[in-house]
Formats: sequence, C-alpha cells, structure tokens
Amino acid sequence: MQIEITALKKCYGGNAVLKDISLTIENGMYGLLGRNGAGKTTLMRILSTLLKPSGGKITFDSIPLEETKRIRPLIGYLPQEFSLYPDMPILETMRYLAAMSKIPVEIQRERIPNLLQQVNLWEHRKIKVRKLSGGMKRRLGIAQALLNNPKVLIVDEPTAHLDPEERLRFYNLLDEFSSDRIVIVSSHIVADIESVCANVAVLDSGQLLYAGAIDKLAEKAMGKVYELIIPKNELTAAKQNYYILSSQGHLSDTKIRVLADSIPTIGCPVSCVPTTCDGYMELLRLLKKGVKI
Amino acid sequence: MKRLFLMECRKTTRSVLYWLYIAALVITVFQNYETTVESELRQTDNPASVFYIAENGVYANNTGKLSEDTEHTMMIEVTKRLIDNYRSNSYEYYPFGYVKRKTLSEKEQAAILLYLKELTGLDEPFIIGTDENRDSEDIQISGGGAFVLNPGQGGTFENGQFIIEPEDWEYVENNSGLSQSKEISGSEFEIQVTFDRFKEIMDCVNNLIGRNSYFSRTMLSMYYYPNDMQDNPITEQQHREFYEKDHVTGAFARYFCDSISLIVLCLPAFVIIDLLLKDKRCKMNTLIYPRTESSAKIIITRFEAVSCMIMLPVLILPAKSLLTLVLYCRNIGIPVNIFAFAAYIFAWIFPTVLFVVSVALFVTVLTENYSAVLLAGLIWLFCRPSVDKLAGGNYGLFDLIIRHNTLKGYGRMMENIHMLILNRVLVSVIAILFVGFAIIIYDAKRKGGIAIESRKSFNNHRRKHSHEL
Repeated sequence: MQIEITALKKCYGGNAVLKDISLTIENGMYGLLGRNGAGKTTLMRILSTLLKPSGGKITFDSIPLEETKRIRPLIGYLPQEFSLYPDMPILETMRYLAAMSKIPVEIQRERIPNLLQQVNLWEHRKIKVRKLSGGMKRRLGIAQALLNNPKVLIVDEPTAHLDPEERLRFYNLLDEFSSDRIVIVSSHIVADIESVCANVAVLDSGQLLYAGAIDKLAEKAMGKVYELIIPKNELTAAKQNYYILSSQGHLSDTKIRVLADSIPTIGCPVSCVPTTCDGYMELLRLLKKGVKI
Repeated sequence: MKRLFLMECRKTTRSVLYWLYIAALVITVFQNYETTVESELRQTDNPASVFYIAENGVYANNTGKLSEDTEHTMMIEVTKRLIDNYRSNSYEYYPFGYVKRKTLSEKEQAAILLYLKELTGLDEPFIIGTDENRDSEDIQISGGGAFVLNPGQGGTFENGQFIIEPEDWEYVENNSGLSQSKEISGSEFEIQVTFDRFKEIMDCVNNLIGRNSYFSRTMLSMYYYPNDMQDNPITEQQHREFYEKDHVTGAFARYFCDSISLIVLCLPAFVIIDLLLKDKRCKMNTLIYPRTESSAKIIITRFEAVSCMIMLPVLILPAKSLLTLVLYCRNIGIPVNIFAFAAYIFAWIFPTVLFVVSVALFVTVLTENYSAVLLAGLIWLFCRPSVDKLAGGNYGLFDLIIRHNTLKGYGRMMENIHMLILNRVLVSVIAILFVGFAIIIYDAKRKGGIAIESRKSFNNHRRKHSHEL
C-alpha cells in the first residue's frame, strides 16, 4: 500500500489550513508531528474521506480519494475525540459498527472476539461504554478502527489523556498492527512519535516542514545544539539571545541547552549531539525566523 | 441490512422520548377510546348506541335536511347572539382553532346594523337596546332563585324525543351565575327573512368579522345541525353501515385512529430527532461517516426502524378492545372484521407517521440541531384539520391527519374515499421525497461536502492555537 499526496490544499473561507502538502506514505508506522492547530487533524480527516480537499491530489495505490466507495473499505479511523453510545455494551458497539462496515455476520463472529482479545477487552465485552476508563475506551476505539481489517489505519492523537503506562501499551498495540499496513499516528509529543514511527512528517501552520526518516530529523539541528552553564541572573539575557531548549537550575547556576547558529558567547558552551526533539525545534525556530525550509 | 435494522430498533427503545411517546399513546387510548368502547357496550339498549338493535326494526328518521323548527330556532338564536355582539362590539372568532375577540370599525358596525334590521325588522333603538318601550317578558322568581336542569337529568324515548320530568328540575336560591334578563329575548322579535337569505347574511357577517367566526357556516353546523357526533338516536342507515359495512370493528378502528391522530402528528418526530442527535452528542459521526455502508442504507434503515417502532404500540394498543368486540359479537352472532384495526391503522396512521418522521429526519440531518422540534411543534399547531373535519368524510388533499370523531359516518367516508386515498398517497409520497433529500444531505456531509462541524472545529482549533501562542 502506498499513499501519494500531491500539492494538497485545504481552505476554510479565506484561511488556508493546509498549504501545498506533498507526501508519500508507505507501509509501517508513520508519524504526523506538529503543534496544536498545525493541520494534522485536517490532514487525517481528509485521508479518512471526512473532508474534501480544496486542491491537490491523493491516491491510495493509484485509487483517487474521490472514489469513496473504493477508498472506505481500505481505511480504519480513530478520531481524537469520540465517545461511542454510552448505554451500549462493548460487544454490541462492535457489532453495530461492523454492520455499518458491511462485514458479513460469519466474519464478524470470528473477527470481533479476536480484536477484543487483542486489545484485552474480551472479558469486559458486556460492560456498557459509559463504565470504561479512558484507556479502555481508546483500546475499544482501535479495535473498532480495525473491524474491516483496513490497509490504512489513521489514529489521531491517540494518547491524549492517557497515563504513561497506558500510552506505552497503546503504542505497542499499534506497532503490532503495523506490520502489513500503513498506520498514521498524529501527536504533538515528539517522544511519542519517536518511539514508534520510522518515518515522520512535521507540520506547522498548514505547512510541511519536514518529511522523511525520524532519525534524519535530528540532523536538522546538527552543530547547532550547545549545553552551557550560566549564573541564574543571566538567564533572562540568554533567553533574549538564544533559542532555549531546556533549562535546569542548580544552586546559583543554571544548565541550559540552546539552539544557535554560531557558538554562544556566554558560559562555557559544549557542542552536543542533537536529538529528534532538537531537530523538530530547529525547524520551528527557522520557520519563526522566516527562513525558507 | 436486517441486522442493522434490528440494532437501530434496539437503539430506539433506549430513548426516553420513545417511552414518553408510548406513555402518551396509552393515556390517550385509555382515557378516550377505551372508555367509549366500554360505554357503548354498556348501553346497547340505548337508541343512541351504535350497537342498538330495534326490536320492531324501526329506527330514527334520517331526512338529511333540517326541520323547519330547527331552522327557525337556529335563526332566532344566532340573531340574538349577533345583537348581543353588536351591542358590545365584541365578536368571537377562531382564527387558528382558538377563540379570539374582534372589535369592528364604525363602518362595519353600521353594516351589521343593516343586516340586523333586515333580519328582525326592528328599529335601531331597539337593536341598540335603548328602547324605553321594550317589554320584559322575563319571569322573576321571588327570592331571586331559578329552576335549573342539572347535567345528566332527563331521558330519551325510543323515538329519540328528549323528556324532562318535574323531579329533574332543581330550585336554586341564588341564581347570580345564571343569565340575566338584560340580554335580548327571542320572543321580542320575529325573523323576517327566508332561511336561504339568512345564510347569505351570515356569510356576509362572517366576512366582516374574520376567519371562522361564530357566524360561519362551519360553526353554525357545529352548533345547530344534527350530526352523528352527538348522541342522537341511530338511524337505519347508520345501523346497517355499522353491522353490514363496518362489521362493528371498522367503526371502532376509525375512532381509535382518530383518538391517537394528534399524538402521531407530533411525538414520532421527537423519537427520530433524539436518535439522530445521539450520534452528534456521542461524537459517533466521525466513526460512522467513514464506514463502508452507503448513506442511503443508513438513512433508510434508521427511518424504517423508527417508523416500525412508532407503529408497534399503535398496532398493539387496540388488541384489548378488539378482543372485547370479537367476544361480544360472537355472543350475539354477528360477523366481525378482525383485520379492520390493522387496515385502518396502516391506511390512516402510517402515512402520517411516515410524514412526521421523514420531515424531522430531513431537518435534523440538515441542521444537526433541535430545529426539527420547533418544526414538529408548528406542524402540530397549524396543520391540524379544521373543526368542520372532526366528524370525518370531509377530506382535504393536504390534511396530515384524518379525523373521524364518531363511531358512525361510514357512508360519509365512502362518499369521499377517492380524496382520502389521494391524500394518504400524497402524504406518503412527500414523506419518501423527504427521505430522499435526507439521503442526499447525509451523503454530502459524509464526503465533507457540507462541513459545518469541521468549520466549527477549525475555529475552535484556531482559537486554542492563538491562545497558546
């Protein structure tokens, strides 16, 4: 499976929320990284056939997105916000959504128990949705998205409101499903994407800042990351001159990590190996400076 | 499709509004319809009862015309009322089925005065009520009391004559609540015109006052013409229609449909509105929209499921009375049509349900809010047939419900059966059209063609984002 996105645009009135996005997505986990309002959800909704693009072209293995009848059987979608029918038990919810996906009853009988077992909800199948915890509801969400055995699974901010343990569990689950399909995951947390996705696209204000391997993203900040220790009273001045990635107070001094085009003139700067997060921040810094990326 | 249909039916039963609809049906049926069935079966010897079988085979006459006495009484009573209204310059009329009062201009009052002069032959001072020579024929009873006939007193002979015995009267000491002698008495004037001219004058008066005044033909016939909604003795024709055409149950089926007609004109809308908006409330749209099932199937299945669940209690509720009627008729050896209820429910109630549900479906799919509740209320308020259609047989092409508030009147229905059929077919076709429109809108929304929700989420997003920055 391959998704080809070419010069994609989306406007609401006069506001462009996606500007000339071109991407190629292949099997495996694919991350969409960006701040809130970057355009990740809009892109995912377009890929899920919920929104019409204002321009550009999208194909799924050469099938144009406009052919919704052929595209929809290929897609599984888990939106960021969903709550299901609260008074419907888990099993009935799965059966209802399976019927909506035109899955024959014989296949449902086999697939629904399998999926619920995979997401550890089979024992709770008679519990009503309103009684599920946030994590359980997310797992049910992923199970319903996989009902039609999709070639493309689209998951929007899946770990929002989940505790760290649930987050880890959820990403492991996604990883299991990604062996023979495309799994597109969006997040504004770099560490989440970094831990599961081999490839990533970085979006900001509707613009594509980067698309490629996640480990190459760090290279964007190569030679620009420094660690230095400065007195606490110089922190304000440092903030004005440098793009601070992190700061860690220790007695009268502060250890800061900065992004800079040249070696900082304060403290004793030590050049560091950049992380993925540093690469991502460098992209945002360049965008803010108005540098064409 | 079948599985999805059953699931939608089950979802419908989880709605509180569905159970409120059933409660409203049950209350209406047991308060109106069931009591009528019981009272009819209790008084089969009463000549006014549809079950009445005259031992000598002689039934009340049905001349189809007003007697001269009735015409005269009507003209006297109506003219008295017009004089009273003229004097106070306050005329009752019923613009939307509710009473309102209207004050006429000087010019209009002058026109009314001319009509009154023509009707009574009296002079202006007498009509205005300033004539000093006017004789009072009111009988004053010493102590200010009055003889009063209480409700339920008196009785009816087999020939239909109403009889009051002396013991039926009761003397009341203080009669301040009763009408006083200031009103004009009927014996103070004589009607000077023919009945046809009287009707023409009433039409002119009605035009001056406004829609559905007390002097309109509709209201006059409601108040003065004998109709089979009243407890008049049954005629031979009515007797034959009841046993030979309606086979007993047909008459009760019509009456049953009439008694629930105002419920099905409104409440089914709330059930489908609740079902559809549940998707929005539970944020299910984003899970359902990308599914493989076609928009047509989703909408049609939901429409069918709600319509069937609405019809289910309507079909079950008359079971008790049907059984009672079947047992009664078996005892007296009269054949009964056991399918009459099902037939009338499907012909009279089902198209109305389809219409109400389809309109609510369309508006809710289009707006994704509670606008359809308001619309359903407006339909209930303004699309009811007018009072002259209460007794049945008088059908309009666009009547949303069929009224037949009597156990008689089979012949009247059959006289206008073509209009009735046309009406029911038209209402059903309009319902199907609304479902078609709903499918188009729903499909456009699924494909992002109409993206109200998305724009809203975009605006929220933008607000959130600018706040963060």
